[in-house]
Amino acid sequence: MIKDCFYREKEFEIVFEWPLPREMIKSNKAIGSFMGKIKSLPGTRVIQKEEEITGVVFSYEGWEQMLGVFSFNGRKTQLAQEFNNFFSKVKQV
Amino acid sequence: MDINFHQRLLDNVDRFWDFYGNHGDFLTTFINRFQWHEYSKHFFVSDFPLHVDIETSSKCNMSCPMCFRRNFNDLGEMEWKTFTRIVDECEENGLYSIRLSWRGETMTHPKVFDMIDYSVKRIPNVSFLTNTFYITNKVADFLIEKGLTYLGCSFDGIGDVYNKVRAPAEFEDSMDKLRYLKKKRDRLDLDNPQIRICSIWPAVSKNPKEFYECMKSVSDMVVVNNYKDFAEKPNPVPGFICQYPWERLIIAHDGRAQCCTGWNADDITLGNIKTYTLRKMWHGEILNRLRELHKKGNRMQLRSCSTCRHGNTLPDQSIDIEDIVSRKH
Repeated sequence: MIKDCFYREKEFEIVFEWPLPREMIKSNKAIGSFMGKIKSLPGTRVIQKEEEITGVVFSYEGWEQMLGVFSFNGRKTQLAQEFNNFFSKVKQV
Repeated sequence: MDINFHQRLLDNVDRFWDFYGNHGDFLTTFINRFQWHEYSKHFFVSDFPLHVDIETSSKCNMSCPMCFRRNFNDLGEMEWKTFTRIVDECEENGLYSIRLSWRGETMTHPKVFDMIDYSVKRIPNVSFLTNTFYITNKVADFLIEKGLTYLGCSFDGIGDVYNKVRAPAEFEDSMDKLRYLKKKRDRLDLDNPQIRICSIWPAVSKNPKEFYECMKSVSDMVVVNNYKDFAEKPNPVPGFICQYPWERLIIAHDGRAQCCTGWNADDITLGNIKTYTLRKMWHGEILNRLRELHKKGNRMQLRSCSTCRHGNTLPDQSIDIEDIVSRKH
């Protein structure tokens, strides 16, 4: 699902393994809901090439808010901390 | 580090995205797959494994010519108590996905229905691999009712090729089983179980389009695996770093744990779930040492990793399937 990822100071970019056809946002409920959610996050934008979405750019703040909207069996805090540690590590490289 | 290079898509991107979109909550799937991909690449150890494979049974009803099982005699079934101990710890730690398979055919376990039922009530994403032989209409109804996330079906080639590779299964009979499962699921307007078909490349290489067109109607996604020759002497790729030590734990039928899907990695056993927790083994000395060896490019110091097929040059993929089949006898 994920081909590559680029980390910058204030944001990071996820490149999809396969481009997501825009039509899928309408035809697949789960993907449509996901795209709806991430579009509302601060600093998040999609990378589009013609009728396909090739990736998503997240701000670190936006990603943190994204983690807040799903429960992961009630382990939200641990997961947020884990991502903080991960991003601290990759941004240092 | 190359991630998930073992499998190639033989399908279109719409079906690829639909397959993952229909796993359930796509946000959770996406975050989980981000972890798989990026944590491994950056040698980042998560709080708990990102995925756990549970070998419910190491027995198999088939003897396929390309399978490592020709040299395999570690046969057994997981005890119920061991199984629930693993799933319970996964649930307590909010694990997203488990797979009820490793080296054997999952459906050969006498308590497999209870195991599936127990798992789907506790873990969001539950799947298993099968050769389809035991997916009768009754089993299909059960899998639909329980909402198993997906079924990975090993299905090598079509027609006579399938019959030769997958004996005693018969192509038309196996197709009927998949057809029933998908039709019934679609008729009920349900998404799960999603059905992924996987073939070894030489079984379809003469006409991959024909294979895809045939399997498309009974599946949600079609992929192919490279052929690996388990009888050949390994030819290691220098500098290969494996993703698995940062990704998953695998528990054998008798409770032994390891961090990869290598079928004979007995020199890197992390412990036994009967005496250790998954968390303890994930953060334990043995696995941390193994991670360091991989990270520094020293995996050849480990017998299992130096002979593992994932870190080896692949055999010629243009090999004729008949040549593979003829080795069986």
